Amino acid sequence: MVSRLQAFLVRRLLWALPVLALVSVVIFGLIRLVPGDPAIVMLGADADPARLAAVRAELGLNDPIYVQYIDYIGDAIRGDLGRSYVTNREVSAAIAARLPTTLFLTLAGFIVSLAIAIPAGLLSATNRGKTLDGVGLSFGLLGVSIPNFWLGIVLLIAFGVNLDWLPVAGYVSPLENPVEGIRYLILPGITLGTAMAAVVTRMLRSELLEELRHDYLDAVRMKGVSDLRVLGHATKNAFIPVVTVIGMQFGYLLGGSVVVEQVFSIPGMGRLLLDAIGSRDYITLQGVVLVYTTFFVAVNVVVDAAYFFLNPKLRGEQ
Amino acid sequence: MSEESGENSRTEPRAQSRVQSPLRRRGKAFVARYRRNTLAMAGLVVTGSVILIALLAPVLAPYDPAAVNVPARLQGPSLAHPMGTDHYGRDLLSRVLFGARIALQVAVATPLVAGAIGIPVGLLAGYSGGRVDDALMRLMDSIFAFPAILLGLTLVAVFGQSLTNIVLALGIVFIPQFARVTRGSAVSVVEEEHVRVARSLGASHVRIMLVHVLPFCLSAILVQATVTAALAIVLESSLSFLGVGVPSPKPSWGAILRVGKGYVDSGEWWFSVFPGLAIVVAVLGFNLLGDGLRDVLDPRTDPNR
Amino acid sequence: MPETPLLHVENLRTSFGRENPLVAVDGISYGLREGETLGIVGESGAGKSVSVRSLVGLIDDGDVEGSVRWRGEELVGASSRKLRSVRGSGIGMVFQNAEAAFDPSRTVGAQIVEAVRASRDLSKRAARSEAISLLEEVGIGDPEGRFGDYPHEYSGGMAQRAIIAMALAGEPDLLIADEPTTGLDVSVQAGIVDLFRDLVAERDMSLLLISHDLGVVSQLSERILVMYAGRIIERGSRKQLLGSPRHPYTQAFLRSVPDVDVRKDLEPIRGAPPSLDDPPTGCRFHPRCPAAEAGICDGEAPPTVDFGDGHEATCYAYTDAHPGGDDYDRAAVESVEWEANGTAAADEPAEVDR
Repeated sequence: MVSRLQAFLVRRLLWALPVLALVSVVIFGLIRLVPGDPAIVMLGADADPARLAAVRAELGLNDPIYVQYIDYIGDAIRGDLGRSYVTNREVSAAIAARLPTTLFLTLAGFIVSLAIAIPAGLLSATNRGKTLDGVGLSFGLLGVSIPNFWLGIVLLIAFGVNLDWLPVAGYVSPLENPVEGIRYLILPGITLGTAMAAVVTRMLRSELLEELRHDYLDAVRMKGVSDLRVLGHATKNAFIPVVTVIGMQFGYLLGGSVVVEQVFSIPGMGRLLLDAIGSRDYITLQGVVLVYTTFFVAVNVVVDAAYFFLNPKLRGEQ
Repeated sequence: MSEESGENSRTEPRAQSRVQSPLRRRGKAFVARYRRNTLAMAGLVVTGSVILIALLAPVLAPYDPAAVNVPARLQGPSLAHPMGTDHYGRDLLSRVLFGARIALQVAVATPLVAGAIGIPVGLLAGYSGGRVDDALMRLMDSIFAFPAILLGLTLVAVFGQSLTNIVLALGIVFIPQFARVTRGSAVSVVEEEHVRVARSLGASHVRIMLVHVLPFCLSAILVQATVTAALAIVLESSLSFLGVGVPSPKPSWGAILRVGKGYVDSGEWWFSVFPGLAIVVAVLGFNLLGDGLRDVLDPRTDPNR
Repeated sequence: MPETPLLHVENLRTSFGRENPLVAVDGISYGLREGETLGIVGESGAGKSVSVRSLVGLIDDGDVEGSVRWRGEELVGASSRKLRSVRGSGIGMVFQNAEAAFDPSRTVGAQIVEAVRASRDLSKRAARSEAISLLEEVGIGDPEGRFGDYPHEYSGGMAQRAIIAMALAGEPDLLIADEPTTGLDVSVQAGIVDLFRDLVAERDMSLLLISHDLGVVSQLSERILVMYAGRIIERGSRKQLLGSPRHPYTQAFLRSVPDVDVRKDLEPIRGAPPSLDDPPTGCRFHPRCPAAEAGICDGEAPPTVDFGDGHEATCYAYTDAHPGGDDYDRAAVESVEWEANGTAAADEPAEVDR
């Protein structure tokens, strides 16, 4: 007998796989759609014809397109994302070198955003209508209105240049040097996490206000427990739908990381992506976008599973 | 509200009042509610100002935004140049004012493009239900699965850089939102009496969708349009900041920031702060408008205000 | 018997909103002795629930005035600390249904344990076994198994029993039951009524029972208060109220309620309860009252008439001001058609086998 959780996961995977497939098809197709001969696009019109022919063969351009696609996917599953003709590096290797950096940055953003959003949401909801709430709401509104790269630049100017407290550019892996690593991630983390914090704050406030109206909280109060405990129960329940929003926001974090990496000169996947675009390195571009999307889809499945897990009605139904 | 309509129907000829007054009644009620809502009014004021600035930029700008004046390069804010000058000596205020045009074009065109495809898809999905709905929404989900910037980046990389292509790319990014929002409204309307009546009277599907279902989706679509406008501005400026947006000589705020960032270390803060502020104001305007509209059109959606 | 009542309510007034306050409870007073069961009956919207919530400080969006003394200590305006000490171990509340009483995301057992530990100093394990024995006491089969179930897995009647178990967790001296049988099947209702009866006897508790169901209230309560539009319009013992109701509203109410033992024609009360943001002047029932006299009943609030032995009604019809006077009195009593067959006039609440 398959457990409900297992059944659910299977269903999510059945959703995720076609999405990934479709995405990969689209990327693949788009790149092939670029007008002109990809080989010429990559090497230039006046390249040696032999080289052009070699590239075409290498890219499998002479095969029918679905064969190309299947080949590509087959390789990709095994971890081979091709070799860039521009940099002559294996795409997977290039990505692997930069992936941890982007992940740390995304993690930093995630932590910052929750560190802001949870207290802000709680304070806002419990002080509804009062000044604190107004502050929280304004923060929410501003947060989604301020583009993250500008926030990054302003923070840079304030803390990096003028006050010189925090580093302005570059990156140190927290794995190698935790203290320095964190120092380098503070400003980027704040920059990345603020917009998401704004959205999550709004959501948490709204859900908490809704939850606080529920009758069962009176029953909890009638047990003689402290108000803090009552709030705790309400928050736990309010958080469940917020979890789904967090999942959605992760996509934003991923996209935002590209920009933040540019602002703070962090050598992550975003730089790889931008370099690939600049140098028309479509093979790398393909691989990077595929990895980004895979991540996003994976996180969504995890978030959905978490939501399923947290919601006992879904979990414990007979 | 009903007092107003009472007056109206008394002064209008009866035959017409059956057709006009519901719409006019709703219109008047809407305007009244709108005026009372601070958020919506604020949004209207700010967005209106941005639009005005964009339209009147040639008149308002003290200098030609493209006028190079090297001796005056990298000067801080002054009476002559309230926002300072850039590395070519061009007046930043003028460039920022003209940048509003680009931002506005993006803000208006993107929802149009996204809606042109997203709304029909959403209508079709919501109205048809079942497998069609499933399939269409799966398709929308796969687009939605892409983080917006990444999708925008990829599309621009493929299409090439120009304002049109960017609007196109951004429009594609936002199709799923319009589809979802339209579908959501459509689904709740489809079960209602008048739709069933129309169907039993033999109206064609298209007619039902357009005449009976679509009007009820309009308020949600309108709110979505403002949200999309705000996001489009952010997205376009992000892309321009990354160098894959509106091509260089055009004073897109993001593009100005791209160069401005390089001068942060050397202390020319105005080069980055002012264009960014412009973005914030424009985006804030649309967000306020969207929030306000949401409040006015359907106060039930946020009972906590 | 002058005893210090366990609970003494004096001029309790609860209003909502500042500008045009909606007065949900308009100055009610009563007392409750140890071991006594008092019923408060009335239509929906009469203010019954609001009044008992006001007793224990559960009204956070309105203003509560007046005095509520629990064992001599004032609860209105008391610190949250004081309220918390009274809740659970002094006063327990039985809520109307599972949605109102239980957090849907936690097991019933865990929530009862929380109630136990909030009022008594027990270890987790001891609290758990206490919770299980409580479930057993309220008549839930397989209490150990049920302990780990979620609220939505309980049937209506079972959930009600669990709610009662949770209210008993602190070993309260007073149990307030707010519409405990509403929404339940008639047969299930009987079980809950029996349960209350047993619990009150075994635990020597006082019970404050609120319901719009006169049948339930009359089976358990020794004394009954009738509320209408935020005011108490009649009070008395079971026998007095059911046998010789005085207030026109009480009479109408009795005529509109079915009774298994008596065949009678049901007459719904015409009109609807008033909206409390603009209540009728004078006697609140006058727009619907068959005995209403213009100029009298719609002027000042009516006086309270004492019929002896604790039976009171707030009505002009029994005063000299009202032209009907004594004539009305006789007619009213006669128009209650049901006989003293044990239900209407019994001294003790009857055991009804259904």
